[in-house]
Amino acid sequence: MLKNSRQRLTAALLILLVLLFAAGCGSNSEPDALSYVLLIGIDHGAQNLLRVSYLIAVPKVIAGGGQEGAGGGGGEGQRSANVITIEAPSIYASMNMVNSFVGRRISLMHAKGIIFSEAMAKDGSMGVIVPGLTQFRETRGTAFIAVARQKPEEILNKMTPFLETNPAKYIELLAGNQSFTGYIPGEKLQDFYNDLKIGGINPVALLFAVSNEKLPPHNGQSSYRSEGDYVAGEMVKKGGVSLEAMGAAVFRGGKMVGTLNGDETSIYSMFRGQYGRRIYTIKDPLKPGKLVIMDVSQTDKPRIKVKLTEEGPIIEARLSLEGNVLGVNSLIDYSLPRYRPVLEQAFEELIEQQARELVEKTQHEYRSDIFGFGNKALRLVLTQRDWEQLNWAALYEEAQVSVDVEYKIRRTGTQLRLMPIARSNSESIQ
Amino acid sequence: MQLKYWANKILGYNGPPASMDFELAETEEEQQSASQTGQEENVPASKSRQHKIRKPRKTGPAGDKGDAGGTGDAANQPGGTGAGDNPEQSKPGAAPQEIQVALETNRKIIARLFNLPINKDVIVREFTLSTEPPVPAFLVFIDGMADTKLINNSILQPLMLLTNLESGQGIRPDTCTNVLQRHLPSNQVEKLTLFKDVVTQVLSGATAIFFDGCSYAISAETKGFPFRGVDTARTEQVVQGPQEGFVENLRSNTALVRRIIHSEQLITEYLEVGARNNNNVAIMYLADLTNPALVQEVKRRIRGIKTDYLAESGVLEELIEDHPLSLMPQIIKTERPDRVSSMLLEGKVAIIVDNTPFVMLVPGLLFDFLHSSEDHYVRFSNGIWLRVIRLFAVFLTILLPAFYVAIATFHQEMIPTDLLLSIAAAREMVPFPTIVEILLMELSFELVREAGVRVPGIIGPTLGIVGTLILGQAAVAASIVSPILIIIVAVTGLSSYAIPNYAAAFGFRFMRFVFIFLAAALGFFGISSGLFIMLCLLLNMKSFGVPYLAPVSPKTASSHDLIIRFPAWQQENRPDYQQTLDTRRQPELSRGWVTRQSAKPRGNKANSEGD
Repeated sequence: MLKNSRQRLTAALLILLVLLFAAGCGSNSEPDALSYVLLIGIDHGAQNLLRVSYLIAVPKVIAGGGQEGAGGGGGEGQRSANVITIEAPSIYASMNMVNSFVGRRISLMHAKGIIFSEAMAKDGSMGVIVPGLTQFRETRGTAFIAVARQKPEEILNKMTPFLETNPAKYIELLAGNQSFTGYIPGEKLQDFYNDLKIGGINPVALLFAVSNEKLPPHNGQSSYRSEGDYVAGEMVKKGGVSLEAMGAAVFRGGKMVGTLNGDETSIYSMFRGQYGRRIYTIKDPLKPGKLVIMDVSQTDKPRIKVKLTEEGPIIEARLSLEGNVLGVNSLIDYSLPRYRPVLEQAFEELIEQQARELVEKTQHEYRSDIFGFGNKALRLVLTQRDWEQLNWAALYEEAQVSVDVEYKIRRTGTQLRLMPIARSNSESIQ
Repeated sequence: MQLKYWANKILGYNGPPASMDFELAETEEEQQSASQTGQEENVPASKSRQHKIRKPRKTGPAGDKGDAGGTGDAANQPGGTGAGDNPEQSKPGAAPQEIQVALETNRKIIARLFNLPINKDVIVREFTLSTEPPVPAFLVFIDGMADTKLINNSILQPLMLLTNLESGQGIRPDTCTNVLQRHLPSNQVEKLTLFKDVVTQVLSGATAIFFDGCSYAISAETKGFPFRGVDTARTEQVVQGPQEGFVENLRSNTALVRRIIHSEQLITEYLEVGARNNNNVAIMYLADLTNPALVQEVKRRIRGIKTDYLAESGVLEELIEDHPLSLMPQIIKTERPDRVSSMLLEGKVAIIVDNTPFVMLVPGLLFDFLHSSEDHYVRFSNGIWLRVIRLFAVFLTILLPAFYVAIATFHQEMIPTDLLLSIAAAREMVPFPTIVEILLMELSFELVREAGVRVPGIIGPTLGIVGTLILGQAAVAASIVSPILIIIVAVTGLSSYAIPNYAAAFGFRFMRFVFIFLAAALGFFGISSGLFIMLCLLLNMKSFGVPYLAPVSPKTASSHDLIIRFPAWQQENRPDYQQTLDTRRQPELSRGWVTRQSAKPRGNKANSEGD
């Protein structure tokens, strides 16, 4: 039958090939045979261990909304994504349980984020679940990880973007806004897990909340409050999506121990080198009643040095920032060489102060090294046993941290010179 | 060796068959020049190398038999005039093979050979030379193949009317020589001693003249058969560059090449293939450039063919190529004389089959099939872009449908969410799995392509409309396929036609189906293992002794004309793998005017050093 060597070789190869073919077909599935989860919400169950919520995309509404612009009105009746909540002993079990009433197999391949309830974060069950989540083949390491101040299913229900037909895009963009708002940390699932397992750093998570959508009445008593001085759920806003992503949840070990507001999160990101840019509204150093608005970005990686001494570790951090002046209320020309250093120094001091306060807060209130100073201290010891004996968590609390901020103003706006508002009488606006 | 032993033991695999063992080795000159690197003088030392030149239809006026000095060629026939190249093909028969002295015997043999009087195409005209005493003679030609006006004016007229000027001395052995030298104003004449040659000559349009008392015949070139004139190339069009293409007539084709390469070293050799149709096959090469071993191998393979009918160069291609079962062609077929010329100057050998407007060039390597002559006609930056686009097209042709199948059914996480959701939405009403869907569309595309070739020209546009309408609109509207698939199939189809070589494009298009199945079964793993197997197969191939993937693997010196085409002034070397006798195209400083302007050496010297 097999006459010569070539035929025998071909036959052997074919048999090998058949084995390969038999191996593969099991894991394939048509794209329309899957239901794509965009967000996962995890909470304690009432009857079972977990209450898992899924935000599942409805492809036909999403694609239809894009195709027929005129029929957009019809799209309102059908949501582009549906929330399904189910109680189950584990997340993977919940996927199968959802499939007892959803035809298409649940797939976490396109899950953009995982939202835990505050209760789970605080009692440490979040820290238990996350490692298992990273183990699963379908979950993305790049999914954001968040703590919700309300029930996760409530947050998922509020995911009704008004600009995008596709909630996936909304979620992606929202988490990506970190690079130019700085109010939220850039922590992904994989980072969270890494920070969890490494001794020299503690994880943080995004903070989500349902906004109260109420504008307080005017009482003439408005005052300056930094734009970052909010935590999710506290902002005064109305309209758009009834959600807020602002600030961060701080963890010690696997437990949430507190929150950071937007400003603190920016400082945190500067220390981690994840800070992109952000707008700062600060008080004018020369005219305290007025404001200077600047667009501040990080020029260089933060330089952090850790030394171990008898009195405890000494940490020196150096942050390099640069920025552009966007607007000056006081009409002071900060492009002039005599004014610019004043502004630069004022901002340096502001950030230094904020950084010192934040470090102190994490040292004494949260007792959690979220900045990863411990990772820099790792190189000071030689073995894992030495590191464990060092007990960084305890050392960090008594560390002396000095922060040095270097700020340079690069551009001072498009106007060569600002003129005061002309008045008919001699009274000056100043 | 251990591995080979076990492979032999377990699989019974003995390695590739011995026929593929021919390897184009480096020439002595090349080895010498390699040892004396950096020397500008690179002219081959043995310029006086003699090449056997056979001219089947041409003899010198002194009756030279055509052999311009033998080179010890094994097939060199004693007394043969070129056409006797196939001694094994001589037909068995009672008739004497040599031309007899008696005219009547010759006439009878001719009548039998040409099946007269049944065969009405063959004309035998008997006449008498007006010598003193008159010499009976006859001539044979084929009506339609020979130009009758030419026969009348330059054969019959001088022989019948003008020969009487000669003083009669009876029939002498040198009658024919006399006639040949003095009375036959035909530009190509030849003395033939074998009937076999007579038949061959007459069949190709010549007129054979027999004289009484003469033991040889004279054949005069009187070709006058109809053939197509030189026209624009149909299958390899370029925007900028020569437009003409080869035609079916062999002589026109050799002339088209010769018109471009004005070199006395351009050799045209003739071989005959086909026991029944005796098809002429011409081999062209540059004697002082092409590796003689390559020429020898080409001749060896063509001579070794025993077949009765050679229809087209494609048939010969199958008969002489190294790997007939491979999907990839190993012989370049082109209808552009300019491409043939440039390839000849690279050291390749051209094989021209009569009655075919496609000339074959060997060896044909993978990258040759991705090159077009236009790459060199446009400015070099554009040339690079053309090449890059084409390489991209190759990958699209092979992999795009497979890639789609793989990511749609195995690797949904790789698709951007928006796209995935729209794919899923588009497939909402589609009843078939992705693999069926894509096979349906790919087969429909192949149908349109095939029908487009076969359909009569007038109906062509209709077919286009029907094809596009059915494939594009209706299939989507009827929810048979998803719209995104139409894009995939269309892009794949487009890219397959961006590949300049028809055979290579065919090969790649066929491979696409293999990859679709692999992707449907194993996803990316299937595609990558398929690519691996494909690469192994290609690496295992050789075309006329040259590895198929040269100069990439094995890596040889760059000729600066692979994927990136360097400017003309930087292409100093011929492709290394061709093992040419003369390795340089031009000196390092090919633009003499550059140095005249500035005394210091310009940057091009440094550039040419680094690849």
